[in-house]
Amino acid sequence: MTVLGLRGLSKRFDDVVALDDVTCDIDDGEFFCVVGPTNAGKSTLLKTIAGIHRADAGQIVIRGRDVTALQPKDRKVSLLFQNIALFPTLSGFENIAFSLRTAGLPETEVAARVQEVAALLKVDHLLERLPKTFSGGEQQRVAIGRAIARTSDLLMLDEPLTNLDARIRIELRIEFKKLQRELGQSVLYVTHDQVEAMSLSDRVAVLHEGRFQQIGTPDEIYHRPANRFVARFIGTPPMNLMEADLESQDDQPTLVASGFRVAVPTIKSLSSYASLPKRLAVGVRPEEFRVGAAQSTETPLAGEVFWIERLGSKSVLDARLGEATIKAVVAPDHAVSQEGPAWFGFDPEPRYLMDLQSEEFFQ
Amino acid sequence: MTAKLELQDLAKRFDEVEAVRGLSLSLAGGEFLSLLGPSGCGKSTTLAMIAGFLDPDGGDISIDGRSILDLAPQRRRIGLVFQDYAIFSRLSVRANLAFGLEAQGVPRAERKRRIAAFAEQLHLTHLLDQRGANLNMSEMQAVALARVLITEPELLLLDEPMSNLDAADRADLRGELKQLQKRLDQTVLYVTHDQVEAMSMSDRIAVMRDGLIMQVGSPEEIYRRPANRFVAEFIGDPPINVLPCEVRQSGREIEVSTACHGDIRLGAAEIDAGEHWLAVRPHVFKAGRVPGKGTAPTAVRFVENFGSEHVLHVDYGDRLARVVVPPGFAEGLDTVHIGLDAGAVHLIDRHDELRVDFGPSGAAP
Repeated sequence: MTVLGLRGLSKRFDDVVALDDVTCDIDDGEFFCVVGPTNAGKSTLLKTIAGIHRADAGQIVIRGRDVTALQPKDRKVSLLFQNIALFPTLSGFENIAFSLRTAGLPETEVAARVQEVAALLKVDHLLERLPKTFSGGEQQRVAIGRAIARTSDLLMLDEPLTNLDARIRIELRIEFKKLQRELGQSVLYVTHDQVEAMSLSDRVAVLHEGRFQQIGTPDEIYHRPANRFVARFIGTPPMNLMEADLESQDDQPTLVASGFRVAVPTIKSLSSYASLPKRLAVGVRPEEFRVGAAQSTETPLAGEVFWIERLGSKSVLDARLGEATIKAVVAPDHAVSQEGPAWFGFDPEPRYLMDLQSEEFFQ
Repeated sequence: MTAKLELQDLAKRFDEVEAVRGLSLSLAGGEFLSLLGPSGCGKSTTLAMIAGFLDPDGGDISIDGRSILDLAPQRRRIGLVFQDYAIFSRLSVRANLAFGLEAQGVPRAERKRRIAAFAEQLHLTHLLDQRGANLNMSEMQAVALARVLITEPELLLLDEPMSNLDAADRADLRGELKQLQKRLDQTVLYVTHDQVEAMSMSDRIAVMRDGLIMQVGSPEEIYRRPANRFVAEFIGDPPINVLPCEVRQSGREIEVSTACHGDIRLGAAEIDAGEHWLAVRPHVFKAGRVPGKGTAPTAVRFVENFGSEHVLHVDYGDRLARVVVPPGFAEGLDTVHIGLDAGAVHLIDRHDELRVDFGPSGAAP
C-alpha cells in the first residue's frame, strides 16, 4: 500500500526552481530517504508535502487521498525539524505528551503511550526533568519522542541528527532505525549526509537542483549510479572518474589513457560498441583499486602516491595514475605506507562507464 | 608561519561549570594539532581564550615564548576560520584574498604573486573574478581559508571549518588544507568533534572531555593505543565494541572470556582477576559464513549498508556487537560465525577505565 504518492511536484521561488517534476511512491512502513547537498530542494519538498508551501504544479496523495489543496492540519503528517524545539517550561513527559493531549486522548492512554515511547528512546530518566537539564543528544531524543508519540500516516524528519556530535549521531542513527522497524512507522527522512541515507534507508532518492537524480535501494544507488552526480555524492571517498579514449585493439574494444588500459565493461543496454563516443570516463570506486609496492601481474600500472590520509581502520591514498588523479583505499598496515612510486591494478575490472556529454552511466 | 604555541595550566569557569580545567599543551612550530572531543568538552572555549575572545581564569598562553594574554585579539597575529565562512559576499574572490594583505601593507607585486599561488593551490583560480555571493558552500569555505592563510599568521586557529560541507567536498578540502599547511609550515590548532578530520590531518591529536585532556598523541597512537575507554570509544568509525569480559590468571599470563569467546590468552598484565572490559574494533572481528577454529555462532540483528562495507549488528551476550564485512557478504544470512584476533584487542580495567598493557602471549595462538 502506498502511503505517499508525489506526482510531478514542482515549486519555484521567483527565479529559482526549487522542485522540478518530483515523482515517487513511498510504501507503507518504508524508510525512505531524500539525500542531497544544501539547496537541493530537500526542505522545500518536506514543507510542500506538509502544506507549509503550496505546490505550483503536481499532486500529493496520502493514503489514496489527494491532499494537494488541504490545510496542513488536515494532512495527517508530522514534521520534525533540524533545530530542536522543546517547550522549555514543560517536563520531558509533557513535551512527549503534547500531541497526544491536543488530540484529546484520555489521560491513562497518554501516560501509557509516553512511557512506551520513552522506553524505546531510553529517555525514561528525563520525564520529570526540564529540557534545560538535557544534553544535546537527550534533547533530540525527546524531540523525536514527541514527533513519534502520536502515530501519523507519515513521519517526516528534516536533518534530525545534523546538529549533533558525530558520536551521538552514530548512536541515534542506529536506535532510530530499530525504532522505526518496531513501530512500523512510514518515514520520509531528509539529510545531506549520505552515510545516514545509505545506512538507514529501505530506499534512497538522490535530490539535486530540485530533481530526483535516482531512486533505488542503497545497493542500487551505490553499485549502479545513474549519473556523475550520484556517483560522486554517494560513497566516501567518492568514485574516481578517469577519462580515456575508446580504441579497438585486435577487435577488442579497449579504453586507453596515459596511465592505464582496460577492456570496455559489458553494457547490457548497448547493441554495439561502435555507437559509443570516442572519449569516455571509466568509474572506479576507491576500494576497487589493488595497490602494490612492486609491479606484478595484479598491479601492472605505475603511479605516484603524493598524499596518504591515515584514518585508523583504513588509509586513503591520493595518487597520480597517468593524467588522472585518483583516491584508493587500502588497509592501514598496507605495504605502501609512504608517499612515492606505487603500482596499481583493478579488482574487480572496471565496470562503470560514463558518457562525458550527458554525464550519465551506461547501465 | 612557524610559531610555537604553549598553553600552561589554562582554566576557565562559567558559573557552575568548569569548562577548561588546568589544560597544558604545547605545539611545535609548523605542527598541526587537533583538539578533538564532544560538544561541551571545552575545546572551543580553549580556542576562544587563545584568540583573545575570552580571558582565562588562570594559566598562561604564549607564542614563541612570549605571553600573549595582555594583547588585544587583533594584535595577536592569529588567523581564525570558523564553521560559518566569513567572506565578503560583495567583493570578488581576488579582493577577498587581497584584503588582509593590504591591511598588512604587503606591496602590490607580492600581493599579486601570493594571490595567484594560493588561488591555484585551493583550485580557486577560475573564480578570482567572481563575487563571494556567487560561490557555492565549498568554494566559500576554501576562500575563507585562503584569505586567512595568505596573511601568514603566526598561528592558525580553525573551529569546525568543514561542518557545513558535503562529504565529497570535505574529503577534498582535507587533503588540500593539509598539503598547504605542510608547505607553508603553518602552525595550526584545529578544533573538531569529527574524528575523521582529526585523524586525517593532524600530526598530533589531543582528545578532550569535560575540560580535561584525556590523551595526546599521533593519530596512530590514539587509534592503536587509546589511553582509556573514552578515547577508545571516541576514535574509530564504526565505533569500537566494549564488551564485558572475565579475566583469569593463568600462570604468568592472563586469559579472558567473553559471552561468545572463551580462554583468549593475552600475555602478562597487571590487572585484578574478575570482571573487566574487552574493547574490540569492528574490523578486528572476523566473520565467516561457516564455523572455523575459535569462532562463535551469533545471530545477525540488522545490517548497516555503507556501500564499500557493511556493518553487522550481531548478538553478543546480552548486547549487540558491530562487525565489519564486505558488501554482499551477509546477504540473506541470519547467523554468522565470528572469530577474534587476540593481538588486536584492548583490555580496559573496569574500575579506572584505563587501558591495560599486556605483554606478548607465550602460547601459540
